[in-house]
Amino acid sequence: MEIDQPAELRYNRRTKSEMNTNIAKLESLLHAKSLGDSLVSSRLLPVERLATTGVSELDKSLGGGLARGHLSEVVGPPSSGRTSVLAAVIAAATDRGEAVALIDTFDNFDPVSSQAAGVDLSRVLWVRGRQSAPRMAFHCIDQAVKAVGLVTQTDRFGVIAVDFAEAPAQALRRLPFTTWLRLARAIKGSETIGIVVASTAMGRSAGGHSIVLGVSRSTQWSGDATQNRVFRGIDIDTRVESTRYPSYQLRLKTHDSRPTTHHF
Amino acid sequence: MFACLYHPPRSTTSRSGLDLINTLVHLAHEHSPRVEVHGPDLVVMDVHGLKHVWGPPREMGERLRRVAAERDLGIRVAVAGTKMAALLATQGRCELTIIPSHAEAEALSTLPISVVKQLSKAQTSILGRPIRTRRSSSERTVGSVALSSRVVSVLMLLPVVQRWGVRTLGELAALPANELFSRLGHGGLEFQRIARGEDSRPLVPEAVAERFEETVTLEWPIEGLELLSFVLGRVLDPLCAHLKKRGVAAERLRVRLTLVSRQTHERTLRFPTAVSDPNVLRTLILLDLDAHPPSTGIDRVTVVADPVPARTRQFSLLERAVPSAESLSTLLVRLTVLMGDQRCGSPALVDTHQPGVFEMCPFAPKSHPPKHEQPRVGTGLLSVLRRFRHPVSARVTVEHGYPVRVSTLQPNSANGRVVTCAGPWRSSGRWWMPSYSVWDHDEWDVELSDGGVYRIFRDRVSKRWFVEGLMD
Repeated sequence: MEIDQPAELRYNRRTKSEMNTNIAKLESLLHAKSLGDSLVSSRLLPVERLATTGVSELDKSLGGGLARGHLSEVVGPPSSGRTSVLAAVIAAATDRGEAVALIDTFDNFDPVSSQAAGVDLSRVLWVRGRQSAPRMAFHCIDQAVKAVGLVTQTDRFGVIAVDFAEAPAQALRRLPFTTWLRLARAIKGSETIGIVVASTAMGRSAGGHSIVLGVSRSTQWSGDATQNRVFRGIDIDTRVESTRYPSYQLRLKTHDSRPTTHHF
Repeated sequence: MFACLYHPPRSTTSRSGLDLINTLVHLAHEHSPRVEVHGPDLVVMDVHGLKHVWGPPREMGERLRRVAAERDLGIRVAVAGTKMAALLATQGRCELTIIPSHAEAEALSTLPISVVKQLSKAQTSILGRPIRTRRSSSERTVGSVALSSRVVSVLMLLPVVQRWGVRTLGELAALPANELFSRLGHGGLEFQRIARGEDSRPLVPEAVAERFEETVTLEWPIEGLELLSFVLGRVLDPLCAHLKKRGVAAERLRVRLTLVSRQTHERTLRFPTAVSDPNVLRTLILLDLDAHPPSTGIDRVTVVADPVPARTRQFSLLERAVPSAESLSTLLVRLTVLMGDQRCGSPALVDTHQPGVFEMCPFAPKSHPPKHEQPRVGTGLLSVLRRFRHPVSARVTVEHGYPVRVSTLQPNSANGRVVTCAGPWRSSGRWWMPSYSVWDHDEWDVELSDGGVYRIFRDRVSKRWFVEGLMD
């Protein structure tokens, strides 16, 4: 069968232009319904809508910093630097003069080491949950979600962080999936950075980032004997994921924030 | 026109001090809204435009004296076109003096010049001493009000003028002004204006303390917070409008609920910052009543606000906006209801080496410029401890003095073989205090086979091992 080559080209050209028009129409419709954040073709966020994390390598991979008005997540197993990244973000925010709300689901925040990491404690609203048995974990998580709801009703917090790192996975799975949508909607368009710290990825908003820590990690010690050995930090392979950019790999190093101590 | 009420020191009355001035002020306020206190027994009131209410000046003066007599007060009353004329006239002998307008100088001309001294004495007798009148909300010193009238300032010229042979106010008023100025300066002219009964400043009325109270009596008793919310809206809207109109806000709120059982359920709410927003106040009241509900149905709702000057805030382009004090008040109350007492606030470090010790402070961030002009970047990540608030009891196998295996009963906590360890670091303290507060630890940093780096310690008092936290 012979194919009319010019006709096929014309057809392709027309189809392509129609497709572009249709995509543009769809995008404008999504934008009109405030659903355009997830579009890959969305404009890049302006610099003033990004806030530095305080870690230059991480900022580079995030395209300048964490997006304001979006929900991002910090994910990783124990000792993968989740709390360190969170402390760095809070320290950077308090350094900018912003107020920070930390919903600490299981009361794991350590003011001493956080202040050593640069956090201005007077600018942190610490909402403390309770250290609980696994069977009571869902109650604490539920309380924390309610607390987040209350905090998001108050504007002008630079960062609202929720710590679910110690939450059992099965308790987190009991939360309705709309929880994250509701949270993302609550901070959308505001100047607030929403951060969820957890052991597994749960939910980020379309414009947010997932900082996946501890893809692989190695602990650094100094000294060759137990008596003179000191914990120096952890090298963490990290992956930054977002809707708009391809996944980005980097290596973060944490350093011990404690002052030098002496062995007995 | 001004009326001056003066209670001479020698007149017989059982009242004295604060009670006397309160009675005088109260009497004056019953006849005029504009009252100025000049001394512990001296009050001036503005009676302009009150002729149709209280009658002509003489009738008004007689009425004032009669009402005062009924209250066991023998007062002198003077009504004059100027404040100063009325004040001076009461220092004369007459019980009631009426001076027509524009005839003050003539009416005062026969008074001895020593009345200025008497007036000054009446005013200065409470100089610097606070007077709290019943209707005034705050203490005020007479010095700030009446002594700004010029009587005291010219008192030092009185002996000079008396040496000249001037005996009456009329003689002083008749002296040529330019000659008086050349000899006594501005003070001399001032003295002459006093002698003529001229005012140098308008009357400064005493601020009347208003009561910020609203009550709603219900036709049917109500139960439940939902219904009460609507009623509170009716109470708080006019109350807050009143507060805003006066430029004040509620620092403390008293909510009085009269119950059907004839009992009163009263709650007092004290706010960290003064609030005048009805929605905020309603939310705070409802949250409080949710925690402390009335026992039965409500018949009447009364809300009383204690006012303080409203907070004014200057915003800056150079400062980061922080949550407003009003919204924070509501948020903190809501969070406290949800999480419990002492579960919300800002942490503050305590001057101790004891691990994990801190105290909670109220969260009140101040707006201030950023610490650094440039955002802080490139400082790197510092390891932060994820602390188990109650250290997790652990079973630790020790070989040759070093931990080799850690296990806990909690599945998510430290469990595994020790890959690397560092320690021990000994920390102890409070050994001089009662035994329950002593701590004596040997701390270790251990990396377990599950990849986690934990801080564990051995309590040297109880000889038990605990997991203190996770390096994360």
